Amino acid sequence: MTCRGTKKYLPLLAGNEISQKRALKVKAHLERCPGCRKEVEEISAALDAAKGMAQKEALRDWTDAEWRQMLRNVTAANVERRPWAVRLVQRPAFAFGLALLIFAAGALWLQKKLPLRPEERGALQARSQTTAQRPKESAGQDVLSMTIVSQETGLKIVWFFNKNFEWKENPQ
Amino acid sequence: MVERVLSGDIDAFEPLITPYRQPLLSLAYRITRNWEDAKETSQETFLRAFKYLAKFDVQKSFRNWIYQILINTARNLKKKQAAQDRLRYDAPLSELPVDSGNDPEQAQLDRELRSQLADCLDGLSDREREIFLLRDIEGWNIKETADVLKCSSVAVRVHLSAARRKIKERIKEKYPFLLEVRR
Repeated sequence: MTCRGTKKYLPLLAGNEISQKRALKVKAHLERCPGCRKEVEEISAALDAAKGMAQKEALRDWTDAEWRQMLRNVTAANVERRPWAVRLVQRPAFAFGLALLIFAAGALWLQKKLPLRPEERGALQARSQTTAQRPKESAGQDVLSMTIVSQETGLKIVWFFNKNFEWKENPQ
Repeated sequence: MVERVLSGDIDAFEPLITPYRQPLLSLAYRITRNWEDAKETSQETFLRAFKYLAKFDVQKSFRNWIYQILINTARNLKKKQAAQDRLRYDAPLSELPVDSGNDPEQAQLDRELRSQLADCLDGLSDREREIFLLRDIEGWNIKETADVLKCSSVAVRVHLSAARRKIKERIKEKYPFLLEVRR
């Protein structure tokens, strides 16, 4: 590391606020560089001096009379109550009940949404076949017809195709 | 305790805030550098804490919340004073009375200490001062400091770095003997 790269970490090194990996790199540089070493020592000393001053500083406290008066002033103000809905939700029994209800609703919804398992689907089909009226057998699309009508002459040609794509023209 | 106050037991408020009685006043003093402002700031902090207790998230730290109110209150007070452009005479700290019993030597020492620390803090910007006080004087960690000041940990590190550098320069320039003692 260079002096320039190291210097920005020195104040944080003094308070042990850099990662161990980076601290090792910075310390390796400090061993080689007396200038940076001096700077970090000065920052640490200044930090200790400031902390020492703060500790020794005689700080005041409220006198008991002031504290009592202050409390009276403070508690004379109206405390802003939580809205009733928030208070209700914060009651454990209510919150538990609500959570249970949401869970049950979610489970129901999921049950409807999820695809049926094969055995469930089979059972459902069997039931529908026995209970519901079966639809009439339809003739199916065994035969397909195609009609062409000439606009000029009015000639009408009808082709009939069977399953094997064999066709007949105007079979009547 | 918070729930008790919110359910109407006002007496429960005192034990809730008593642990912060002196620490908040001290921090307010170190931010405002004036005991009257410090008391006003502290009182306003307790008042807001009481008034808006319902907005406090009980899952979070009450200490962080109340310190956050204090910092904001101190900032607001400062803005208000600047806006009013009030001509205030803040007696130099060395002239302020100190409570050191009847020992004039101790009183003088206290004045000097107060003056030195205030002088060091004077060179810092508002944000640097708040961060330096919370991290280095109050001993909070970076994350807690960032949480109270509503900024990122990176921002705390940057300001803390700058604050420490400035304090070192100030001490080196004005009170070099403080560095000498420790060498």
